[in-house]
Amino acid sequence: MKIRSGFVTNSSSTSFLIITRGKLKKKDLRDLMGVEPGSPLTPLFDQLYEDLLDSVETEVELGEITNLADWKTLIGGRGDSLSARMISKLESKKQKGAKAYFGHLDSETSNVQTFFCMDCFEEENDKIYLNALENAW
Amino acid sequence: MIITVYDDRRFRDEYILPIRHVPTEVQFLHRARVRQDSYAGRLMSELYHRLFDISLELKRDYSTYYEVEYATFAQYLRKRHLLSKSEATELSARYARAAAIIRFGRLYTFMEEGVGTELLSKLLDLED
Repeated sequence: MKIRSGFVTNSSSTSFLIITRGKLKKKDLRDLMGVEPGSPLTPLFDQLYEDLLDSVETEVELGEITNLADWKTLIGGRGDSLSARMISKLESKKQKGAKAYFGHLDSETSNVQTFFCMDCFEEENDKIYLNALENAW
Repeated sequence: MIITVYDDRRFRDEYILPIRHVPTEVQFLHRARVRQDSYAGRLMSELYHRLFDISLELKRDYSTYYEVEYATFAQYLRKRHLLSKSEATELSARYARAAAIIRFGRLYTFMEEGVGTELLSKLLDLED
């Protein structure tokens, strides 16, 4: 038997949806998060970029979904776990060249990923939409 | 210079660092090179708040409250903060030229890796 005297916590995870015009790029993520060139925060957000890419479970070309059945499969494939806000963003950005990435961050990997996993945020600019608001799937 | 001490009442590492100049929040964000109205900007504002509003400021606390009780800053560090002799000596040597000496617990999980130490060194212009 082991006795632990410090904090005992459960692990956490945060689902994310990223919608981009074209491929998700490191520099575009930095721009989205407000990190300017030469920032000492660059390694932190570059690690987030790597963690997001490593954690992608599904990648979808939104522009190639032409019929309603496919669209319903995408939305319905995640059960009722897509929030109304996510569905509305997916619908509004459904155009040629747009990609959607679904995945989740985990608190049991690196300290960097743990930090972002335990935060709750939604960011958007003209190139990227990033939703990491809830633990949905 | 960053001194790490283990707080066995809270089961966590705490950090003590002497700072030569305490930046304003605007200067801090400028050094961080982040846009103020962004995720990174909000993160750095929160970090500034945690470092300079919530943390203990040992130099100020000593000169304001504890100087009557402890004859030297080193004694204050040894008896009040339970630092080792070498840590107290090292910090005392920096007392005169430090604008502030702050002590804080865990800030963010990412601060515990090399990226965090390097970040603090750059943001606060710390001595080696």
